[in-house]
Amino acid sequence: MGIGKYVIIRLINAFAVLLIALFIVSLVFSTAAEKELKAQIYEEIMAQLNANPQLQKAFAANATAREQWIETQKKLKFELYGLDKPLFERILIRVGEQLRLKFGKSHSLKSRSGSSEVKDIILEALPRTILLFTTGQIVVILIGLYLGLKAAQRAGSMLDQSLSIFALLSYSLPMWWTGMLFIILFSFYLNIFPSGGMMSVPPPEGLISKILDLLYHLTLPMFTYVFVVFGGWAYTTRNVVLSQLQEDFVMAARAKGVPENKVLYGHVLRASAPPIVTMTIGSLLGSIGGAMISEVVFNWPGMGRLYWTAVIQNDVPVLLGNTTISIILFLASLIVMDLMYMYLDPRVRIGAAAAMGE
Amino acid sequence: MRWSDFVESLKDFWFEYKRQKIGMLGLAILLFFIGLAIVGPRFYPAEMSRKWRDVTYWQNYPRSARPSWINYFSSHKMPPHLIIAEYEVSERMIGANIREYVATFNYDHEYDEPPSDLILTFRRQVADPTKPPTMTFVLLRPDGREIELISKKLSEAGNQTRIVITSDRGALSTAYAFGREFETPENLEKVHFELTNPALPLFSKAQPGILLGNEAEPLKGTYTIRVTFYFQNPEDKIEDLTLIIGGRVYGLLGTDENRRDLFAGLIWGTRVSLLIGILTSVLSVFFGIFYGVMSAYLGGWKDEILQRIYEIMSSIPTLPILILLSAIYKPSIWWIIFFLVVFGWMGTSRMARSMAYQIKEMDYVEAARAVGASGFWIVRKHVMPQILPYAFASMALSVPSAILTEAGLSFLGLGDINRVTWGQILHDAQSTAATIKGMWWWVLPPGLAMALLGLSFAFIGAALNTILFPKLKTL
Repeated sequence: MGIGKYVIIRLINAFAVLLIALFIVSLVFSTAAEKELKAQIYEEIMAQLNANPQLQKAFAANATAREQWIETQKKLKFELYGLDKPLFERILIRVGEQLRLKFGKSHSLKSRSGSSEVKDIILEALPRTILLFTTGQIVVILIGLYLGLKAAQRAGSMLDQSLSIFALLSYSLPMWWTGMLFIILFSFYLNIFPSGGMMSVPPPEGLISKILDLLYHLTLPMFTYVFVVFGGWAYTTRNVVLSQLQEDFVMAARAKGVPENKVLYGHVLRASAPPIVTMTIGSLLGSIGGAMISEVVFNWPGMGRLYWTAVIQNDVPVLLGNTTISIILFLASLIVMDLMYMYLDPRVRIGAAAAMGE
Repeated sequence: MRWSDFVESLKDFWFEYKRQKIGMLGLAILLFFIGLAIVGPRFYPAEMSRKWRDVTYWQNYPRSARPSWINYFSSHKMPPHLIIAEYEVSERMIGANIREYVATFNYDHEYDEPPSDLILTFRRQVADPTKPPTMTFVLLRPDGREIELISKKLSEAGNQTRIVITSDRGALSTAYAFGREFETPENLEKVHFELTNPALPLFSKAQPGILLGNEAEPLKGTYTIRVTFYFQNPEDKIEDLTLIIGGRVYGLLGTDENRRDLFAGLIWGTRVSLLIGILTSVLSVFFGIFYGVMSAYLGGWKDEILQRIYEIMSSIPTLPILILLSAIYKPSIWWIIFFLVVFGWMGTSRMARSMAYQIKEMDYVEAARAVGASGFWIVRKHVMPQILPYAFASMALSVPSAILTEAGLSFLGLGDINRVTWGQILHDAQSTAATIKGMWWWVLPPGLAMALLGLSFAFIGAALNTILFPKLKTL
């Protein structure tokens, strides 16, 4: 019961955070978005005027009537788009739209099927990012867990030392720059991988060759991701496992004569599970957001590159929609991590329930 | 804490720190970068940073030149960048009132590639604009062949003249025609007039292959360049005549496609990165400690409110918001630092709060309070001295992410546009597809510098952590 209550409070809390974050984002946007919208309205009115020869004739002699007509049209449109309302109200309206995932239409970008609905554009980009980064993250987790366990088992060994150094090295390595270097090395000098994109142009015929082509384009960015991230993962795993290895229950198990492998995979791994599983879930969810700049470097048409294109094109609906999705994903991963941790670690579970009961 | 105690504990700390190999390595790298940032600008003036985007400032540098030192590692020698202002002059009158002024330059070509450019710059003083001087530019090759590349009337307005012989259409067709004579018909089919580099036939042996970049053999020896001016007025003259032989290697790190000296960019970028990294981490760690300690100390509903704000701040994904803010407000470097601090203090604040809570429950704090110590006194005497060491470790560890985040913004073209930063150099490299052209000397150094500088702080932070948490010690 205590847990259920905690979960509900956690969800309400997250929702409140989401509201405030969206409020801040909408506030930031109100200036930029509205300036643009006003320009757009003006253009629309002018286009309307140019398309209507009768009006033009009527206004040919009378300039003030023309001005008046434009003013009334403007007023109508402002009302239509809600620009006549005060700033605060407009922000609230925008927050509401974002919450209902009504992102509106992009004015410069289109999905492959030709839709300019922001939702369609995002739904097209999201799977591509998941394909690259979530798959990459799974590889990272497998390698990281294996190496981290091995390093902890033989703390101070060559493997452990080189792993620690590699983790430190990759800690300050910008992934996107590493990507650029790999492009120079593997694409320019060795010429074994394409320098970017997701498919050859034009794409090959047939499903199998299409999949192969996709994999071919996927390899270099994924390798970059794994290369930069796995060291840190292995190092964290090692630290978690190592701190468990120094606990009394491990010594007790060893003293009882439990085989070393059983101590490691049975006792220690179970005790290390809460942080590691939490990290796993969190990183998997986090990887959906992708690595924005690396997508730009590899010209990978996922969420990151979409965001960047929207920044360059000043496409506010896409920017807002993309930001909202990233905030939701981020919050979701935080909640799932929290709940997962609670589920796995009885101490936290009881602690949280007790804290609720106070 | 008294001053002598402070010095004593500092000495103790240094004694511990000295034994951390990795920490000393980090300190050495950091000192190297600080040295670079201090000494570098003596040789590379501030103008280079301010005028990084000014194309005319860099116009007399070579385009896309590799670093000079590659010549030591390759038998294929590349010509360096030469600015020749020494020449022999001979003057004579031809006819009644035409004066001939001949400047003769010598250039020893001992390299396996032709120069990238031939540029002539000078200032002219013309008494009567209706009677402009004319000039010719003649190249005398070591094999005795003579090619007149330019012959023109200097009638443009202004007196500063810059003639890029290698991008002059007339010079190109002359050079092409020169090469054609020796070329086989099969080779000629492979050659495009438009794509020919005029320097190639001019500095290659007169034999088949002269127009083909991969087949032409360099003609080594002394070239003579004769620039002749014909003045119609006795007062007309030429000043500051300079011949630039564009190199294919330049300086320590070469140049980019916009002819900018990449080492100058690296040096000025070092200053920005150090500034951003250190200022951001110091400010955000201090703010984080202030926030965390205050939260723990105030307790009750005030703590609750502060914790909610903390939660909101740590639930906002940083990079998208930073990109958004930068795209909308086009911030200066100081605003970028401000944004980074606003989104960067949360980690420290959580640590400071939990530590302060623990310390608050200690008996000696209780005792201090019992004898009437104020909250501020307790914070100053008991809380801060215990939190500060951790603060330094987390300061060091938060530098790399600040540097990388700024670099990321600059890379997307959203940084401070009035300064050159490492991220911007990489942005320019990306936008001109330097990676696909294999220009490693453009892409490698800024990122390497970023990684190394980040690494130095990571090393220092790791060393501090090892001193503070000996349990996890390995390195």
